[in-house]
Amino acid sequence: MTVTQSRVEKQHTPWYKSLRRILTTTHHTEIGMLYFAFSYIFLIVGGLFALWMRWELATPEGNVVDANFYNSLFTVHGTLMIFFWATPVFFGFANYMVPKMIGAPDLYYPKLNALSFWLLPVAAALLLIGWPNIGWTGYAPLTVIQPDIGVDMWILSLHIVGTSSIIGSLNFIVTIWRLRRPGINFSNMPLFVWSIAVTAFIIILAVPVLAFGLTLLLLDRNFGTQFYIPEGGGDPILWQHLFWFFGHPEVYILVLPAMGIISEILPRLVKRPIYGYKAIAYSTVLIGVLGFGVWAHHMFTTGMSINALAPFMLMTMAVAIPSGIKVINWEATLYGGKIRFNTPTLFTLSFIGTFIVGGITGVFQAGIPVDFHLQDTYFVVGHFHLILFGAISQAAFAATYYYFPHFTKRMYSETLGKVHFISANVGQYLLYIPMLALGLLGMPRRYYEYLPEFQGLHAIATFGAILIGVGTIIFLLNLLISWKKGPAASPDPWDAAKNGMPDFMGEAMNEVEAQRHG
Amino acid sequence: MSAETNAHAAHEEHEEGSIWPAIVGLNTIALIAGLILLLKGIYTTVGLILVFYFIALLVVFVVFEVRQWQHVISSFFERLQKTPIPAEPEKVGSVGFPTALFLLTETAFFASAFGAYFLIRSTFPVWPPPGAPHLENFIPRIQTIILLTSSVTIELAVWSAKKGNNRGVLAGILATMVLGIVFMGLKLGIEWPRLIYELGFTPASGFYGSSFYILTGVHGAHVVGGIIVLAIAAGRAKLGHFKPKSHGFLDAVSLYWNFVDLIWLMLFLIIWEGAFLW
Ligand code: HEM
Ligand SMILES: [Cu+2]
Repeated sequence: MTVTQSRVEKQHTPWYKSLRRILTTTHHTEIGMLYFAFSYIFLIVGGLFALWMRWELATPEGNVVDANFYNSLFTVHGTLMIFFWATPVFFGFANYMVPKMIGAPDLYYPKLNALSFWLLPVAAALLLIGWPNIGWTGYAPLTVIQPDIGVDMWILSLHIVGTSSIIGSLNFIVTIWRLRRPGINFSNMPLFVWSIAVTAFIIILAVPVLAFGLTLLLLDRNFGTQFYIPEGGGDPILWQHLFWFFGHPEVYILVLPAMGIISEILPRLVKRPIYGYKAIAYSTVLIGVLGFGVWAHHMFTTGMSINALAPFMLMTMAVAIPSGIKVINWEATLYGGKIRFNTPTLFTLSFIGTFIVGGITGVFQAGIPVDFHLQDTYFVVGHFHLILFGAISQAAFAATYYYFPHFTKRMYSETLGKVHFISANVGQYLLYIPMLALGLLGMPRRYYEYLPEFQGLHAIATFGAILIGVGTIIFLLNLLISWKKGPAASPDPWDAAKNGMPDFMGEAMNEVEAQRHG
Repeated sequence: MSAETNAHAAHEEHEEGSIWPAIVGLNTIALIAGLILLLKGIYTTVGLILVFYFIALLVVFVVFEVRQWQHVISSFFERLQKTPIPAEPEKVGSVGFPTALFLLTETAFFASAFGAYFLIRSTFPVWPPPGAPHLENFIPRIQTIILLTSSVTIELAVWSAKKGNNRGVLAGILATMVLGIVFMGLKLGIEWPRLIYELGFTPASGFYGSSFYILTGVHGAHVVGGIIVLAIAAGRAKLGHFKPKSHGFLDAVSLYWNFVDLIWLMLFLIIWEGAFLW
């Protein structure tokens, strides 16, 4: 009876211990876990590159790496963090949770879902082997004339991630539209599902533009076309238009799922239903729409006419409004809630706080005259790191802690979690506030050596970076050890169901119905 | 193993998933490696082999998939029946919505292509730039007629499917494929060689040349893609997959084909007929 034997075996060995299961699974929770494993690996790799850069920047002389290697470090770091950490980690959450939240058995196209995942390792390998040195923004004409084959690999790597995320997004939209169980509709659908729906639409509209821009770049490099070089009438600014038409929506591709997941876990942690459900849902849509009209705020200093730029300034400032609406609703949810000081709550709070700081620095840069001074300085670097690490990554951390007992049926260590929280937050302010100051003082970004008078601030920043690094290692050790040895967790670890807000709404409704029927 | 356990094992296999996504996904490295070799002109034979290896893999995968398509669909509905989600084919199975979404990404792609084209074109004092060769519009006119006809033939295939006339379906699909191939033959066999070798008008002939070849090139690539999905549709028609009430794939292919046709009309008007000249 080999069949029953293999059945029994299947229940006892977890799926991730069999290479065959890993390679053949199309189940959404398992694909979700693969996304987590993948993205956390690249958080570490990208983080190591960051520490390497900070080590170089601890002293004014360029004495750790050479200039070209430094260029590659920030290029690969940036591309990894955006495309191989922050994007896939939320795809992982979406995979695991969206079907459960809407009561679906799986995604609509399970095999395509697996394909979206399996494209990523190839893209990551291409990026690392290519070791490009042109910045994650890949500005022309440098990218056209730089003969290194690594640039071609960078282009093709982005093509592959782009394909992967378009396939994934089509899948999520169809799933959310079609596989909602009865009783879940657009007026009560979990906010995380809302954010994934909007994000998926942004992806299918923005990524093709990047794909087109990258294709032109590949042709310019290899077939002598003249899209981005002025001799034949082309224009390097065209690349910036195409890149940022994708690039600004890309930052919302990252931040909307983070906001969505915070809107799920915050009310459950403080035992109080979310305040302003509709406002949060609609502001998600509004951010998605407005996000397509702001790309030229990355191009204020390119010499475009001021009349063309002014609307972008206004639109950019307008995006702050729906973002503010969300913040106010989260705060209103906190007000009168029971705040428990466990690790996910702490990270949720630091997400909100850091998002405010990072968002306000963004509004400063949106002013054209201000940006003339800040463009290409460390201020910009400080701004987007506050958002990308301080807000988005910390939202991913909060959600990882929150759902850990669901993923592994075990509990993590609270003490280590709090150590991680303290080091991440002390570390990030030591790291990014000096960056803002350096930028105001005129320190340009993407330099591996600098004037001696900047050393004090740089040294503080390096110290902060090391703190973050230590905290992240503690975090991952905590997860790995607790996964093996942690105490068993209850099926309702945060009393969410007890408070009438089950973690996975659709699944809970399905269970209730199944019980009623027998 | 008896036939019964065999079928059982096949069922198990399906519940457990499929190795194909991993195979296709991970093997894109071969495609990319091949492309890079071809782009750089080193070891071009190896490059060609790698690219063809990937294409062959895709073909095997698609053939495999097509043969069990029916089974995949029915097990999808079986799975839904165990949930409270209404498993009505019209509600959850129709192909219109996914196709529309896909065409939305295609629209974004072509919108960026046209946007980039007009953005740069508007910086030229005169268009076409002085010294550029005159683009003969004889072949494009024939191509326009061909594509318009092909939109009719693909609709004939859909119409025959609704009537349950399987031979009509196959005939419609094959006619569309032939028209698509003739279209590509005119472009790659006559028009482009003439421009390149007789007039010296190449992708490297300034932005005018670059934009001409990219716009017609990405459109041509979409026609080739269309021919491939038409071939898949033909295969499914031969297997008798299309029923009067269920021929979603065919509907999707026809939508796509008409979309590509529409893009051609815009290209034709803009590039050869001087639309939007100022
Ligand atoms: C209130 C909302 C925000 C505003 C008003 C804003 C504004 C800006 C502006 C004007 C710049 C251009 C600075 C320059 O290069 O001179 C910028 C850069 C940037 N922002 Fe934001 N931002 C906001 C939120 C975000 C969010 C949510 C993210 C990430 C998820 C983000 C990520 C970035 C990145 C990555 C860059 C730098 C791109 C580069 O040059 O490499 N921003 N932001
Ligand atoms: Cu932006």
